[in-house]
Amino acid sequence: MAQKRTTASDGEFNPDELLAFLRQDELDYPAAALKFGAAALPFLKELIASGDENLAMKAAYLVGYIEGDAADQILEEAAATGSVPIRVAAAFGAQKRNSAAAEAILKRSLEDSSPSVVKFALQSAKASKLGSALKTKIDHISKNFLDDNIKSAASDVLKKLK
Amino acid sequence: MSEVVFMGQTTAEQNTLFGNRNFMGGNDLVVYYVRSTVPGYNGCAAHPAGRPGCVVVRSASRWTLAHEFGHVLGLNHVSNNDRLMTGLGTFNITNPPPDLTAAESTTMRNSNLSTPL
Ligand SMILES: [Zn+2]
Repeated sequence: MAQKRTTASDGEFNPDELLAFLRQDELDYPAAALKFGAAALPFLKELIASGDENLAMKAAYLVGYIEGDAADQILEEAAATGSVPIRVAAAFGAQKRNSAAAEAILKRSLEDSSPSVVKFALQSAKASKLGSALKTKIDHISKNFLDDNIKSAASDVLKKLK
Repeated sequence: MSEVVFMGQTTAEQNTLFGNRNFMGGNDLVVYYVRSTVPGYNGCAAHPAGRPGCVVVRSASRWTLAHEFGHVLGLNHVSNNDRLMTGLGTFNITNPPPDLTAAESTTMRNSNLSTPL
């Protein structure tokens, strides 16, 4: 009997296999993104909204590695409404999106009150070369953020622009 | 943290974290409990040379700490959910407490981090 293929392209995935992947201790996200693909996004979105912190944050990281507009949308929403580990995942995931999607996510992440979220948002802004586009927000952080380490990280991003 | 690194290189941030070893001897394994890792793991056994230890996430399984210590002491993954070193996720362990084989036990005892009593 022919083995049923579950790849990103044929619009199918096995939810049990996805849960088994997310329950691992150390996860190979890029490989899982290729394996499960965009078909898994509605299920991943549900997991992000679930009360299971471990599954929800891992689901958010996996979305970051899956290409396409639907994944962009989930990350943007996660950046705005998730718990801290999920908002960190969204800020981190931004650096793997196209510039428009990354900018939309980081606009939210750079306004976050959590130092962890802002730390990864600054890293992503730098990695995506969005320092100029987000200069006003980064400048604000460098002057006003409560955490000194974050302030100086923001200043560093600004310095590299010059 | 970098991607899928168990025993390999550490980032500057990991080096800072593992610098916190107050009152610990050189061979003492230290566990750092964190809210989350980036990207999201249950734990991570990568550590700077001479600062043995691991990171465990607060939402990890109850076996993750022992699993990461296993990595630090030289153990690799197996594909068997009856065993502590399963690579399929310690959340999925089927016969708690999970097993260590005699060979795994020997590997850990032979680690230069182990002290014969
Ligand atoms: Zn492991």
